[in-house]
Amino acid sequence: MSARKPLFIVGEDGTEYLDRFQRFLGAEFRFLRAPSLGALVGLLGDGDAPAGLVLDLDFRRTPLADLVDESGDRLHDAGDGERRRVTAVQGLLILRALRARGVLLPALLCTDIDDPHQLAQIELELAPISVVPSSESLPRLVARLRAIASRQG
Amino acid sequence: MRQLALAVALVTVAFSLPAAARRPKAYQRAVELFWQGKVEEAVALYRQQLERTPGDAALLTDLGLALGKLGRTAEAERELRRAIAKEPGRWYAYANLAEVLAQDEARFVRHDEIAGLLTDALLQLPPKASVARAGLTLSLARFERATGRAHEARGWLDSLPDEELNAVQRDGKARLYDALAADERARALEDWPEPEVSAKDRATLAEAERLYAAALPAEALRAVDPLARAHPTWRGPRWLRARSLHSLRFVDEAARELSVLVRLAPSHGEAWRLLGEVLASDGGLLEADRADEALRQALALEPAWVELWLLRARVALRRGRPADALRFVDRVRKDPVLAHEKEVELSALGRQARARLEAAGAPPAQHARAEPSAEARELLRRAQEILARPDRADDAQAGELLEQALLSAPAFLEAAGTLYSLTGEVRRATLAALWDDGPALLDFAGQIERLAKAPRAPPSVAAPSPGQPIPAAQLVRPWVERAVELGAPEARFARARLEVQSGDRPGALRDLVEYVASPQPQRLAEAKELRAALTPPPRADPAQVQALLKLVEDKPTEAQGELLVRCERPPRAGSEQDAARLTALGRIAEFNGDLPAALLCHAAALKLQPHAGEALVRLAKVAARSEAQALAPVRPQLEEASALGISAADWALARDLDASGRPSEALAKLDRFLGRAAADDPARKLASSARARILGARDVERRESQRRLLVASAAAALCLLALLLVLFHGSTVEGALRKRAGLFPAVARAVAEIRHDVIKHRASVLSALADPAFAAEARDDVARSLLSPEPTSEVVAAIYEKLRLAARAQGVTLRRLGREPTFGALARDLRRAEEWLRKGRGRFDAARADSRLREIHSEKLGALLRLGPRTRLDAPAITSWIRDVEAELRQGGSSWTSPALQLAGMEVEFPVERAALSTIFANLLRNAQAAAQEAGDKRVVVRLAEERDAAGRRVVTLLVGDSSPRALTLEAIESRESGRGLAIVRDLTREWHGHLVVRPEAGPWTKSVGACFVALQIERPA
Repeated sequence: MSARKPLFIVGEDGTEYLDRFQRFLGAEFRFLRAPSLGALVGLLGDGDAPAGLVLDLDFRRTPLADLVDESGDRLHDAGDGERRRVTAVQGLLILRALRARGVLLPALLCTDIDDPHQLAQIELELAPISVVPSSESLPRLVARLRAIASRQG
Repeated sequence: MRQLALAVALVTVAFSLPAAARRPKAYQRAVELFWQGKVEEAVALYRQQLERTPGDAALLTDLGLALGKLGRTAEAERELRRAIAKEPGRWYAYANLAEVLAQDEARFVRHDEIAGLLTDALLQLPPKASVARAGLTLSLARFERATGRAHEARGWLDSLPDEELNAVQRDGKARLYDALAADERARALEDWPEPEVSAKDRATLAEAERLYAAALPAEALRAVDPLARAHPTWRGPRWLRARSLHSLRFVDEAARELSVLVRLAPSHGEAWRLLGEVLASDGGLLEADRADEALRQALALEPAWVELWLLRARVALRRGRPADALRFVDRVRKDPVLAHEKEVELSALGRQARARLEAAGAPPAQHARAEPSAEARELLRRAQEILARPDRADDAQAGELLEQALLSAPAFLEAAGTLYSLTGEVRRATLAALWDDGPALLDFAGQIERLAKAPRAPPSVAAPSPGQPIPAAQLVRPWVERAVELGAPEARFARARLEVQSGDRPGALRDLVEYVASPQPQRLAEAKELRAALTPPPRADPAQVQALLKLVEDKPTEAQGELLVRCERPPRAGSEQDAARLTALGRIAEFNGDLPAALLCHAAALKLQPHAGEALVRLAKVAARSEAQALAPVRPQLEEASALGISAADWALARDLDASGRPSEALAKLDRFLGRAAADDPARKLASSARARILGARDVERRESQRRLLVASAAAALCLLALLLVLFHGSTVEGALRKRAGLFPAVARAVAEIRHDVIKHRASVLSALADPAFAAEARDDVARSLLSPEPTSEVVAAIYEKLRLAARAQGVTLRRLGREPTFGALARDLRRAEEWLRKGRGRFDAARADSRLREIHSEKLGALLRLGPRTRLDAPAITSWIRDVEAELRQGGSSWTSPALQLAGMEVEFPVERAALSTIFANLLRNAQAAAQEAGDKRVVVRLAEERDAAGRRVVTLLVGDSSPRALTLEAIESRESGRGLAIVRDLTREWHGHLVVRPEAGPWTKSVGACFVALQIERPA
C-alpha cells in the first residue's frame, strides 16, 4: 500500500517540511528529504519516480560546499556575504539547476514573494512551478500535492 | 424720760380734776395753769392752797407732781412722801413718786428702796382695787424699766391679766411692752465682756498688728490665729483676723469673722463698717439686707462715715428700693466734699434709681403722717387718766378732752382709738386725715379691732352717724380696702384676715397668695397658719412628709429612715406610694450628692411605675449631672424622657453617646437639648462647648478622611499610571519604526523568523484541525507541532524580546509583548491554541485561529516590513554626497579625482536608511579615490543601477568604480576587520539585508565595489 503512495522530494536545509508533511500527510503521500542539489539529484536517480518536488527557498543551514550558485555550480570559497546571498535563494537556484538538467517535475516553491513581476518571471522560467506562501493552509497544500500526484498517475 | 414723768404727773392731775371741780377756784386755776404749762405759777397756787389746808394729800400730790415737772426732784419727793404719809392708800401718790424718781440720777442707787416702797403699797391695796393695782403695777414696771431692769419690769407687766384691765390700761401695758422690747434691742448694742488675757498674748497681738500694718496680712493672720483659737471671745484677735482675711480677699471668711465680732461687740463701728463693705461688694443680692443692716449700724455708731450712704445707695438699688437709693444719694449730696468727689457715681446711681422708679410705675403715695402736737398728747393723757379711774364717773369729760385732741390732730391714732374705746365712734376728720396713708389706716384698723375685743369697749358703735352698731370688722373693712388700694405692704394680709372672718375663703386665699408674693411680707408665719385654716390638708404620704421635714432639718439619714423602702431592693410589685417613696429616696440621695444612688432610686421608681412623671424628670436631671459612664443602665428611661420633651434627658443622652464614641448621634441630642433647654439652663454652656468640640473633631475627621481619600486616590492614580506605564510604556513596533528607521533590520529579521519558524513550519498546522479530513487524527500532531520543542508563543516572545533589546540599543523602548498589537496579538492567539491543545478540552475555534493566523497576523507582520526606510537617490543627492567627501578629502590633504556619475534612471530607491546609505557611499567613494591614486589614469565612477538577480528579484545597486590596477575580491573585503573603509560598507550592507558586490569594469575603470539590496516591490503605506 505504501508503495503506491505518491512520492515527493522535499528540498530543505532542515527537516521542518519533512516532519510536517510526514506527520500530517504521511498517510497519503511519501516524502524524501534532500538538503542540497546533489542530494536531490541523487534521489531522483533512485528507485521510485517522485511525483513532484517541494522546495524551500532558504538553505542557510546547508554546508557551503553543497550550495550552488546561479549557474548551478558548487560554491567554493565564497565569503560570508556571498554565502548569505546564495543561501537566501538556494531553493530557486537548485530548481534552476534541475531545470537546466532537464528535470521537469512539478515543483512547489515555498516562499513569500511579494513582487508579482518576480513571481511571473519565476513561473515562466521554472515551470511547472507553484509558489506556496508561508501562510498557506495544510488542506490547501494537500490539494496542491494531490493535483500534482494525479498528473503523475 | 421727762415726758414720761410728765405723763405720770398728768395722771395725777387728771385724777385730781374731778375733785378739783369741788375745790376752790384757786385750785382749779392751779390745775389750769399746770395744763397750760405754767407750772411755776401752778406750784405757787398749790402752796397757797396748802397754807390754807395743810396736809391735804391731794394738794401735796399735785404739788409734788408739779415740782417733779420742774425738775425739783427732792422737793417733789418730800411733798409726795408727805402725801403718802398723810394718806397711805393714795396709790397715785406712790405712782407719781415712782415716776418722779425714775428721772432722778440716784434712781439706780435707790432702786431697792423705791421698789420696796411701791411693792409694799401694792401689797396693801385692797383686793377689789383692781384699777389702783393696775395703775400702780404699771408705775412700778416703768420704774423698773427706768433703772434698767427690763426683766423685772416685764415680770410686773406679765402679772397683769388683760381681763382685769380697761382699754386704756391694756393700751398702756402694750406700750410698755413695746418700750421694753425697744430697750432690749438697745441693750443688744451692749458689748459682751472681754476675756482675761495674759500680757504675753497682748504682746503677740501687738506684734501681729505690726505685721498687718506692714502690709503683711498673711503673716499677721498666721500670728493671730492661735490667739483667736485660744480666746474666741477676745475681740482684738478677731478684728485683726477679719482685716487680714479681707486684705487677702478671703471675703467669705472675713464676713464670717466680722459677723461673730459684731455679735460680741455691737458697738464695734469699724467692724460693722467693714462687714457692710464686704457684704455690699461681695455679698450679692442675698446678702444685700445684711449689708444694709451692717451699714446702718456703722452709720449709727459713726455718722461721720458719710461715704457709707453711697454704699447704702448701691445696696438699696440691689435690694430693689430705688426710692431709698435716691434718698441715700441725696444724703450724700449733703456732704459737699464727698458730693463733688463722687458726682459721677452719684449721678449714675440717681439715673438708675429714677429709671427703676419709672419702670416700676408711680410708687404708692407716701403719706407723711403728721406728728400729733404736744397739746393733743397732753389732752390724750388727761383723758386716759380720767378713764383710768375706777368709777368712770368722768368719762364724758375724758371724751371732751379726746375730742379736743382730735380737733388739734385728727390723725392722732391713739386719741382716735381711745375715743373709739370710749364712745364707739370714729370721727370723719380722722378718717379723712388717714385716707391716703395706707399703713396708718391699717394701724388704726388693727387698733380698733383690738379695742373692740376689750371688756370695756362698747359692743359696737356706728360712726360717724348714730344707729345700729357696726361690728369692728365691718367698720374697718373699708379702711383695709383703702390700704390695699394704696398698696400698703401688709394690707392684703389684713384683708385676708377680715375675709376669713366673713367666710370669704377664696378671697382670703387669693389675698394671702398675693401677700406671700409681695416683696417683704412681715407676717409670713401667720399667713401660713391662716392658709392652713383655709385649705384642706394635702393627701400626702406621712412618711414622705416626715422625710421632707427631716431633710429640711439637714438630717438626710433620718429622712431615709422615714421612707421604709430601699432602692437596692425595691419591691417587685409596689404601689404608687412605693414608687413615690423611691423617688423621695432619690431626692435624698441627690441632697447627699450621691448621684449614682439617686439614679438607682429613680430608675427603681420607674420600674414600679414605668411612666411616673416626677421620677422621669428627676432621673433625667440626675443623669444630666452624673458621670457619662454611669448612664448606660438608664438609657431607655432617658430616651423616654427625651421623647417627652425633658431637655435634661437630651443633655444626658448626648454625653452618654459622646462617651460611647457616637459623636453624630450625640450631636443630634445636643442640638435637641439646645433647642429645648431654658435660656438660663446651666448646662447650656457645657452643651454648646461639647457641640463645638464634636463639630471640630468631625471637621478634623472629615479633613483627615478627605486627606486619606486624596492620598488613596493619588496612590491609586499613581498605581494606575505606573500600570499604564508598565503596560503601555514604550512604542509599538510600528511606532518605533516610524520614529527610528534604523530599527528596521532588526524588525525585518524578527518578522522573517516568525514567518518562517513559527507560522510556516509550526502554526500553520492549525489548519489541519479546521479541516474535517484531518481533524480527527491530527490533534496530537498539531499539539506536538505547536508545543515542541517549545511552545510557539514562547518562540514569538523570545524573538520579540530580542527585538526589544535591539531597539533599546538604539534608544527605543518597545512595549511589553502583551500590549504590542502585532507580536502580542500573535502570541496571545498562539497561547490560546496551545492552552487548548495542552488541556485537550474546552471550546476552541481552530478554523478561526488558523484564519487569524494567516489573514491577520501574517498580514500585520508583512505590513511592518513595508514600513522599512526608502532612500531615493538622484543626481543632485549623489552630487551633494560626492562634494562632502571631496571637501573632506581635500581638507585632509588627499588628492581628489572627480568621479563620473552614471544613473540607471532619474532616481533609484534603496531600502536603506539615508544615513546608512550615505556612510556606505562615502566609504565606497573614499576607497575608490584612494585606489584611483595608484592608477596612472586616475578614474572614479559612481553608478546607480536596478537589476534582477538570479531569483528574479529586483535589486538596486550602488557601485563606485576606480581605475586602480590592484585587484580586489569579496573574500578580501569579508576578511577585513570591522571599523574602517570597506569593512564598514560590508557590515552596513549586511545589516540592511544587502550584499557586497565586486565587479570588473571595462576601461578606463578596472573594477567597482558596491552594495546591492533587494528592492521593495510594494508601495509604502501612507
